[in-house]
Amino acid sequence: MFRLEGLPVVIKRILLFAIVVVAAMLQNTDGLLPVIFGARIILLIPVVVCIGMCEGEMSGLVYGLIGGAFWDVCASGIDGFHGFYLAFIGCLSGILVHFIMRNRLLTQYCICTVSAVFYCVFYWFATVYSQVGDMNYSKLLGFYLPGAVITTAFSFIVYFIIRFICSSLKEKEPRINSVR
Amino acid sequence: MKNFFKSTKFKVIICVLTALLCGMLIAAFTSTSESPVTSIAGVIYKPFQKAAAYIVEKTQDWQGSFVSSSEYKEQVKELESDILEYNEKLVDYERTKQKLESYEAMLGVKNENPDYELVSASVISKNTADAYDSVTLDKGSTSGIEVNDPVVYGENVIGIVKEVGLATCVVKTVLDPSVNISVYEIKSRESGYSNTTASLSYEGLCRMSGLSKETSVAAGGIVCTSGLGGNFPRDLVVGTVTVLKSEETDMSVYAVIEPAVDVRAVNDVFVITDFISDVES
Repeated sequence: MFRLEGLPVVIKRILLFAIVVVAAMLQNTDGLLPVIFGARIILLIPVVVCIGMCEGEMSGLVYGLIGGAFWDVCASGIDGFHGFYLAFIGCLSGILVHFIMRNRLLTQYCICTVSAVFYCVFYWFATVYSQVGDMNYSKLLGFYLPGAVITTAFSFIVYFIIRFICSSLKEKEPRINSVR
Repeated sequence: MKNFFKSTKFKVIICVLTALLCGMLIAAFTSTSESPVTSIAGVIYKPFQKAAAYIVEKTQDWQGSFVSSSEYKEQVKELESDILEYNEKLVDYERTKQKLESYEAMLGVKNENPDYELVSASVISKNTADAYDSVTLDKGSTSGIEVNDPVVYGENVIGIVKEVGLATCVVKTVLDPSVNISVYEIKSRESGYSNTTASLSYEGLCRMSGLSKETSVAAGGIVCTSGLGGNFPRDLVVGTVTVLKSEETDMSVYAVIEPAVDVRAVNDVFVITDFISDVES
């Protein structure tokens, strides 16, 4: 049966879904996010990493899958790749925070940086090298890596928003009836 | 952590990631190149993407106020040079179009008269000191042009070459009183000669003289070259009769002719350097 104590969890999940949708919209629509010296912010990566860190590996997997699917709708290249990648890093960040690391801003920076840089290098290698047949480093150094740097630099905003939502809308602990 | 890898949760995670990998492979081999997950996500995501595009469209003007003025200055410079380039192309296009029209007009004449030898030329200057609008063409003796060669536009007479240089020549038009051409009116077959007066030339008209009082030439008749004299080939159009008038000096009548082409406005012409005249044949 529906419990009122479960309502914050439902609201939290809806809010996180809305954040993923908004992040996908901002990332995939030209003109909504500022382009700084030609570098674009890849907003979905820090969103999924932070959700994985705050909510656990399963939530990271699910929200990563959703965000990646939205990203695949607009992206060219291998279809389904972004869904797989974001699901993987969402799940991985949840596992790392659960077993090895703590849920801190520095941890978020580490995971986000590695995720963004790995994505940029892999995508550059898969698209520029495989299609052009030439190691076009200018694209890597001028577009992809600056995008990873910008993404990491602004990821703290995403971290604080998601952490605030997750900590505010936790499932209330059941009351313990005092024995008189 | 070991227990985690043995747990059901971990197995579920592995299954999901494996399913996503399979989805990628399906997308790679199917004709639509879309995985099932992406197809479903596309349906859900489409309204949000449309909303985002709508917001960008509405706020584009507002965003423009954050662009620095130097960027706008650069854009203005680029647009100005584009405009200059397009104007030049437009002028070139109009010039080419006019040339093409004159070539098309001449093509029919050439097909009917294969003996004509033609040299195309363009008007490069008009003699402003000449009251009768003589023009200079950009071809001369090196192109085979000689004095008294007829100058035409299509099948219409423009004038006659009066001076020839190596690379240019001067043409006197039918509006010059010194230009006389043997002509005939095609309906009545009456012959005469075309010339003009100062007053008629001012109005852009010439005349067919040498007609008798009983002439059957009437308004609307077409006057063509007769080929007599050997300077002009036969049946080149001089103009159309507008009105008949009596000469002031004698009893004869002349027909006022409106030239078929505005000789003052023509830029691309042909010079007939050789033809087989009726006199020769």
